[in-house]
Amino acid sequence: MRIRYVFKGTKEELKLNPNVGTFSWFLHRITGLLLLFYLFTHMWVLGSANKGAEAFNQRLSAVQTPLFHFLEIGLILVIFYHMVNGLSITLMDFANISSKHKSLVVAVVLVFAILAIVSLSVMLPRLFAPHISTGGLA
Amino acid sequence: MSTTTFKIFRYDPDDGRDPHFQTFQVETVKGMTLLEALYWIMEHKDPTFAFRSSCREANCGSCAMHINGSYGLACRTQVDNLKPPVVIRPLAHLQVLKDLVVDMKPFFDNLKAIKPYLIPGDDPPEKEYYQSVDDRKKIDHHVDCILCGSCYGSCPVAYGDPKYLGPHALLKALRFVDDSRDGATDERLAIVASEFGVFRCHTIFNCQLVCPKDLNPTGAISKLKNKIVVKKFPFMKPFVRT
Amino acid sequence: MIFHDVVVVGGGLAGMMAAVEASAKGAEVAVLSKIHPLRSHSGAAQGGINAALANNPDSADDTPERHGYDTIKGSDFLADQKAAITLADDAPRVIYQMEHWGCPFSRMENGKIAQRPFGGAGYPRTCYGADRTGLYLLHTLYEQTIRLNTRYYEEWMVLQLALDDSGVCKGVIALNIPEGKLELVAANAVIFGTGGSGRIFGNTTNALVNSGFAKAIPYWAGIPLKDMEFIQFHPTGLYRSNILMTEGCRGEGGILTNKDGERFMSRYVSEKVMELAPRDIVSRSIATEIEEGRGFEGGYVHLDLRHLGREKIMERLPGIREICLDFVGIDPIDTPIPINPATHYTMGGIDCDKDGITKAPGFYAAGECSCVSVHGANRLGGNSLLETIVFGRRAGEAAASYVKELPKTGDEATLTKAQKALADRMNSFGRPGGTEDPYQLRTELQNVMTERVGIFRTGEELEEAMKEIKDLQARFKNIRPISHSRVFNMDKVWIMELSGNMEISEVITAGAIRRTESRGAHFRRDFNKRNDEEWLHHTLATWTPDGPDFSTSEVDLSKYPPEERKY
Ligand SMILES: Cc1cc2nc3c(=O)[nH]c(=O)nc-3n(C[C@H](O)[C@H](O)[C@H](O)COP(=O)(O)OP(=O)(O)OC[C@H]3O[C@@H](n4cnc5c(N)ncnc54)[C@H](O)[C@@H]3O)c2cc1C
Ligand code: HEM
Ligand code: SF4
Ligand code: FES
Repeated sequence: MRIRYVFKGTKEELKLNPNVGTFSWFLHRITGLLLLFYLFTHMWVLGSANKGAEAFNQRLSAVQTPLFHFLEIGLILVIFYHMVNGLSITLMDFANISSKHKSLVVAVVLVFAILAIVSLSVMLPRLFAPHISTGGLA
Repeated sequence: MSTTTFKIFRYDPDDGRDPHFQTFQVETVKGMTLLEALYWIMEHKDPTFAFRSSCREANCGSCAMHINGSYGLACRTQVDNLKPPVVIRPLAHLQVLKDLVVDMKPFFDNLKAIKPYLIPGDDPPEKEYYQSVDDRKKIDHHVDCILCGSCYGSCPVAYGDPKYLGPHALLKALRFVDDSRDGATDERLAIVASEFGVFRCHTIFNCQLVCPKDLNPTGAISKLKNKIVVKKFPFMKPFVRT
Repeated sequence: MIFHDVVVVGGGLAGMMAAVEASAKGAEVAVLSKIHPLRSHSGAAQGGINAALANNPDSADDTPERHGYDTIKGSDFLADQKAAITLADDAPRVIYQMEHWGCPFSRMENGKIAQRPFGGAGYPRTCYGADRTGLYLLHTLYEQTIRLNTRYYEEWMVLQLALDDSGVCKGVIALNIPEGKLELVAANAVIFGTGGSGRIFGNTTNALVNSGFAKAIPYWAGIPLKDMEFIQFHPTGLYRSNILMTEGCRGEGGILTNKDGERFMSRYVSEKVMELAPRDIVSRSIATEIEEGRGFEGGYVHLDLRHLGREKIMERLPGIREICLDFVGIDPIDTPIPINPATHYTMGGIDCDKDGITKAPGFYAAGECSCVSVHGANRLGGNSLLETIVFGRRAGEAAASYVKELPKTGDEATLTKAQKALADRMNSFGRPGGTEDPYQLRTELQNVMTERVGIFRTGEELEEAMKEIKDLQARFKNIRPISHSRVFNMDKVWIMELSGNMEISEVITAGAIRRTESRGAHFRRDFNKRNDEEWLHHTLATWTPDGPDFSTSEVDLSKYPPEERKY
């Protein structure tokens, strides 16, 4: 019940307040949850890999696939967004510059874009030429 | 004169129907405010239509509602600036009594929770308290709140938890904390630091965006957070602005 | 039936102040208001509130006595002088009281409450909080009622006063708007603080809810209304919407210009006062300019603030700028504001003395709905906020001491009888088969009042107006049935308000016809001089089935003899 209430409410809020603030908050929450999910899976993968050399190699090769590289790109974008937006919220509170919300949103988008471009320029080639990167890592 | 299409939220607890939207064609003239358009509907189309209003000059806070995707005062909104169909809903997070009229009781109960009255620090002097121009400036905009509820309606946190004090009450709390005549800062900070206070805020900025008086409840909440942080952790003082 | 010791009707400044004071004096109090108290029109007052605090360097030798004199002179000597002096004497005390309660007045460099010049006053005497003084005062008082845990019945509209056979007030009948129920509210004392009634006119600065109904309630119950013909027209209402541009605009140095760019006030008053002459004079000057073709197309003149500069406008008149931007899309920092005179204030009201005591024991009145008479024929700006607080306080105190010894039980029989009277009145209009559109009638009535009972009056036009009002009253009986919806029936509320307007417009017009002189805000072209021999007295109107029955009462002239009013 409660869960349905939360989902319905969130949907409603997004619909009634189609503002930057609502979306960035929503995204922040989603990315936070994704990170949480990632962190646990990550632990689990590492934990299960930590059972001798063979298990390690097997686990690693299982994730060294185009699909996982693709997900990695997603992960890094999620991290960047959560990080940049989170820092901006912290800054907003501590420095009390809330009257400059618009400029901060622009800054968040810019910083996020720069980080994204830089990391994509490193990661995209890896996605299309898996042999290079696996070779490098393995 | 031209006609504009309005889609208006309707609900009457007595007629057995679910809440729904009703479409009206309103004859609009140049310079017409949304409030006048609503009255046009009530007077010409449907006398059972209910909404609140009083001052018609954006001063009393009666007519806050959800107007085409944002919250605002009907009396301050020019119909010309609205894209038809104009969709009107009541304030969110408060129970609808009828049509656009909501029960404001939780909103005012939250206000009462922060002790919204001056608790003087010193015994009153014979004449007025001394307050410097700069001290008065500190509360400059906070005192302009008309308690319309736009911010409360727009705040997603208020949806999640009706006990959340809300932007209006927190802004009012800062108005007293920052008033040089008030002597109950500690008590006030303790109230707003509670479970339902400032730390529920997710810095979403809707309240600042919708406030028809261009006030900044978001900033007020940040400021209160910082004051609480400094009180608990004095070493943080150089890092935050109170 | 509900019982409260003291029932205050009205959540504006007057009502809340009465409630606060009555409970401070030990009475058990409840406040009924047809709108939430914070939505009351007191909150729209902008300019400020008068008190001879002598804070401003220019007002160092200001005294309550001079304040009293200015008030009396401003009233064109129709004010009751002792009452006006009480108003001025109590002023500093109540202002300090409001300040101690947290009212955020603007400050001067020396940390004291700031004061600005206002029309008709010898000194800068008007205490202000930017241009939101009323809002600040209203919120401050509301906050105090929260502190005192005052019992509110919000959105309860009083429809009927219950007087017993010997004329003692026993309570009220109210419509609980959210629930759509009639409620019997018994009380030992009832205090009315129901505000103004500008909406009888079309062009008004008043809130939509400020109708004549609240004055009609005691009038129907047999309590006389005093000096109703005196209606103040504020010189500066925003063109079209008539939203008020505070007198503070001129107090801060704003000027009035006609279409030739001429600062025309010099034609009408001395160079010393110019735009800061009392309101009746400035309004007539503007109306004359417009009438003689020196206004702008459409009938307005300019209020020019540009020379004040951005900084001063932003600091002292931010609300005015906001209204201009929102409602006409101009910025007064670089464009003059189009303004015309607009109906603003009712000097007249429920006949009472300076303790709010009326003809009916147990029934008190304070604020704009009352007529103590401190404003006489013309109110000075900044005096009516003061009136609400000073006389609200006094009425609260008087009511509290009146109820002290009375038994704490309600008189159900009287209330039931009143309920029947109410039912009869409500059945007299809106019967099945009725065809008239009430809102159409409302507009027609407002037009009649604006056009014929306005700034300049003549006997002939007033007679015509009277005929039309009678005609409208007859048509009102034949309006369509009122909507049957239960919850929040606004149709019922507005039609009740209209029924009051129908009654009170007649009282205003009949009073204006009778008074064959010009005094203060009442200006007759056919009798354009003040006539102290015949008319230096109050008009009292008492309800009869065939229209108001007029009598007079004496003006208290105990301190200053009447003199010619020159500025
Ligand atoms: C735009 C404007 C600006 C002004 N500026 C100034 C100024 O600068 N300085 C100054 O001194 N004066 C000013 N005035 C005048 C002053 O504001 C008013 O005279 C004063 O506020 C009236 O206060 P009140 O308490 O009597 O009535 P209001 O504040 O109008 O309150 C009336 C109350 O009565 C209630 N009520 C009415 N009828 C009923 C009913 N039937 N049943 C239940 N409740 C009812 C209403 O709900 C409301 O709460 C201004 C007036 C206006 C219109
Ligand atoms: C890069 C460093 C990070 C920063 C700067 C950061 C910052 C923040 C901030 C400021 C908030 C509060 C937002 C709000 O008030 O709504 C938050 C919420 C959250 N964060 Fe992070 N965070 C970081 C990393 C992480 C990581 C690694 C995880 C995953 C484990 C995570 C999971 C969450 C979750 C689940 C929330 C709650 C979201 C909500 O309530 O809406 N964060 N983060
Ligand atoms: S802060 Fe703004 S939006 Fe919120 S209640 Fe006050 S005036 Fe309305
Ligand atoms: S009617 Fe008063 S704020 Fe809109």
